[in-house]
Amino acid sequence: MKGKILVPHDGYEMSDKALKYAIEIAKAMRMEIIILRVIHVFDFSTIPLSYRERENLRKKLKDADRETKKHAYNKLAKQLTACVSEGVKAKRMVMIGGPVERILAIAAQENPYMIVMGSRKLKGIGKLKILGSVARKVSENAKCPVTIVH
Amino acid sequence: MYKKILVPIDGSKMADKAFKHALSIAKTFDAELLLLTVIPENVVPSGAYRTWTHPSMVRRKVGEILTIAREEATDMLAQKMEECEKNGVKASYKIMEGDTVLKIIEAASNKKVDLIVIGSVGLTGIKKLKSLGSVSRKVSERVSCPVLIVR
Repeated sequence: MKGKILVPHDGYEMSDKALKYAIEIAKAMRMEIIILRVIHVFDFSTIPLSYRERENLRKKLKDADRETKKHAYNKLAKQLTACVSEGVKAKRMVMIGGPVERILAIAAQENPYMIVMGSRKLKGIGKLKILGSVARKVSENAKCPVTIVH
Repeated sequence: MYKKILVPIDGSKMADKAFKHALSIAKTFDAELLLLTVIPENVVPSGAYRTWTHPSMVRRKVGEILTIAREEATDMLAQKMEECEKNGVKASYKIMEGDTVLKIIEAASNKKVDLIVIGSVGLTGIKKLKSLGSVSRKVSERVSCPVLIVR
């Protein structure tokens, strides 16, 4: 079977667990893995600033964006080698923007066989909304099957 | 990796799709399918009680409706079992009565399943706002094994 598995990775433990799970599936079904890291950025469009301030800020943020993107890309190397050492073809992607929109956009673009993502483990009062809001929104809006790993 | 896959089936199109997906996964991983149908507690429409005046009548009528529901569920599951057999996948089925979500979770923990394949409910219009059915949402939030939501 040919296809791709999209693994949105937020850099935390649950995502690693989801990735491990995705590798198992990819190995058995001979699929490719796409590791996607989305960086959420501060939106300053609603803050009242003068034109010059805004342009200045935008320029600075552009540099910062590039830096964080590079940093995140390098950080995903560990996950990538985890895939490759198991004999699974993989590629990494870094996007900037809202996690849910970006994940859905990539899912629409790459048309993966399924999305595998981790749910957040919360304690106490957070348990009331056990699925992380990203996992919930993606599982509600994605066109392809979504596996949520606990 | 997968040994047992639980597929809750309610007879809807989405459940059918989930079943097909589960079948292909079971084939690849040589897993066993466990089909589950839950007959909900509120299977009797609430308005019906109004015309049943005597408690014994209520008991009898509810019994009749449950029998019919059980028969229908058995028919449906038998069909699915046949399809499993055709594809060479080991399968078993179970019919439970009670709260849908609780029973699915109960079955998942009792049988130690490795994966739940469940259909999302495809709603249109204004209900798209909460486009995950309440059952699939609650199941995906409460169980400890991975949940695959098919749409």
